[in-house]
Amino acid sequence: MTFDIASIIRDCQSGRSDSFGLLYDAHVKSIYSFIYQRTWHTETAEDLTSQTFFKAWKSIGQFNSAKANFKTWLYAIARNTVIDHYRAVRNETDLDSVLELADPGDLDLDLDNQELLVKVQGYLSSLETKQRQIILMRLWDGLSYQEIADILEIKAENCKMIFYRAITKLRADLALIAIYLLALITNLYVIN
Amino acid sequence: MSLTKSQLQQLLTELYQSDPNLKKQERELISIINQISASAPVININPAFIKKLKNELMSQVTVAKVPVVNYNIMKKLIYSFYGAGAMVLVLALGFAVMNGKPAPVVTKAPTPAQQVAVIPKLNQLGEMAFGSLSTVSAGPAMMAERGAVGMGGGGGGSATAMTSAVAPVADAKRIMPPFEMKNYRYVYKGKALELKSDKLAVLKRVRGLSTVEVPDLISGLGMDFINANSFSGQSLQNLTLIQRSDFGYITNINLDEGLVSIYQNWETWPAGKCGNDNACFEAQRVSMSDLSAEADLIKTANQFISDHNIKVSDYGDPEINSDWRRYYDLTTDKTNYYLPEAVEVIYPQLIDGKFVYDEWSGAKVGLSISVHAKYKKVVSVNNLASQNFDSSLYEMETDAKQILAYAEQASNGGIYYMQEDQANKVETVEVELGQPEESFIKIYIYRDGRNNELLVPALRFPIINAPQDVNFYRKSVVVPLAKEILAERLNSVIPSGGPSLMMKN
Repeated sequence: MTFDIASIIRDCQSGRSDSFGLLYDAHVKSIYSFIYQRTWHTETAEDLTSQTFFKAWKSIGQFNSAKANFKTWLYAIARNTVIDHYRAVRNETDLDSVLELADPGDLDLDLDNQELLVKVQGYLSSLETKQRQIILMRLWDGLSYQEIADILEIKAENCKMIFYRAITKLRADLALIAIYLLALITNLYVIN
Repeated sequence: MSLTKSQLQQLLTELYQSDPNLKKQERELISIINQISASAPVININPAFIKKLKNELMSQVTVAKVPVVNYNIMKKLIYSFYGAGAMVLVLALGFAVMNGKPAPVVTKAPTPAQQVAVIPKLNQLGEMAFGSLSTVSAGPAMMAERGAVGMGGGGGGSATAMTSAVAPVADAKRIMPPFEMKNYRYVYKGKALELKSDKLAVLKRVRGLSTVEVPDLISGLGMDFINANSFSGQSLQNLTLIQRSDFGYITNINLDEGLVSIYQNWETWPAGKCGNDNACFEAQRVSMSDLSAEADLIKTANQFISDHNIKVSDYGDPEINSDWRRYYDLTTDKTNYYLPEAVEVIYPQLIDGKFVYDEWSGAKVGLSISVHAKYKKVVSVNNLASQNFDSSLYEMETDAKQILAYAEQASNGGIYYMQEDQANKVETVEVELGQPEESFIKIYIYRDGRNNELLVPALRFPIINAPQDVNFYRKSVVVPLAKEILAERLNSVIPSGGPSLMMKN
């Protein structure tokens, strides 16, 4: 089923609430997933999803469908909402220092996922903030480079390059671990 | 999220484009990508949350109507908004197209005596001709977007990065006082209900306006670079007309929906000509004195109706929407309060002398005309729709207990029931409902990929003692009488465990 997104947005901008319902239906699950994957806590994800859609409605009058893509605009609002959340709970004021991902030390986490989160943090700990953001948006959220670029307000080519560097960094880390393990095994063999 | 083979292949191809040597480490790359993808947390969305949030959103959205536009953001956007060249046609043509002939002239709002006689064009169908009235049928599966979706690579999307429109959202100056969480418990204080009819007509608005011969229209455009008539089976869906003179308008005629919207062509209005001049923008700000003369606003709206032959015989006497004044009175920081630049005048829709109400706000619905407070000119016209209806009999609820149960509990949609515990004490306020009146409720049901507009017989309960809280938006409580809809609404209400259950999984 397809819709004329521009005309739906025009309807929203003229106050037709049923049209905003269509946008909600189409995006609520992906926005919730995006937020949950960064908070790992059901109630927080629900709260931030609500905030995202209310902010979207309040700002839809300013949305320019000729210049921006509604989906990425909504994701950007969701991302800002998550950042605001972490700035508040972790008392961080520097935008770049907000990692946009739950920490195993955070108080509110769904217990089922805590072990998994430790594992994820393990994989990604060596990456820079931007690399981590792009890796997660690409591999977890399934967003294209152009969409990620729109959300982060960078160029799509940069985005692709950062992804490439992140993956090669992870591969290098893996190689280092392999060398270290090999050295360890060799030493043990020599000692024995 | 686990990747499909093609998604994985896509990612690898993109990586090899950046560095062809990586192909030698393909196995390691696959392992890394798969590990990260598989480590995404399992997401179980609570369907009750999805539904509850939608209810909450729709009720707030209905109240908020057109969002207030921030001057500074508008300034940045305006240059890109109307960039595409469009036909400059006279506004009157729009109305000629809408009616399929020169517009009939009905120039003034009906008097109360006329209201009783107003019956729109009805096409009687057999019983239950619209099928199930359930409003929870499957929604749209996906939305077509301009950008590439999913793992489709870097293509598509808008070439330009987003504007700064998002950034101010979080920090924007509040235009309303802070939201205070309370529970509202509705209590009926009227006499015993008398429910006479077990079957009543449900109306479904017939979409679409008269067809326009596409070949004739296209041949008039003088296009010599394509034969647009060579595509078979074409029909005209939308028509946008732009008026570029001072205080101009843009008229959008949706022939498919039978809907006309008119809004200001912003760049031709004084604020649209300010460019980067902040002082100019400030000078356009509306003051309280601009908003004081409400009678003038109605006069302006009536004049616009008369000037453009807008048919208002299906609507009642105009009323001013003064919601902004209520929020203004409640706010403490009045100096930073953004006064609305336009005030909405509503011409309430009438069906056989009964008003039509919005489900979530309990407010009257109808033709909406917004008038600029400073310039005393119409800014926009919304909900100007063709008034042809199919009519079909449906079974109505005759059990007063069911109706009152919904009025007293389900009218909340469960959404404002806040969790109450030792640390988080939430006040519960009792709201009294008075004797109901017969009315219609506007409900949308999603069928065959489209939203269908239904007018369903309803009882409207007035609110006797409306709380003076910022977040109390309801004008009245409207209960649909159609048995199927009411049962569905009742089933979605809070279980008998009490409010605290609502916020849990």
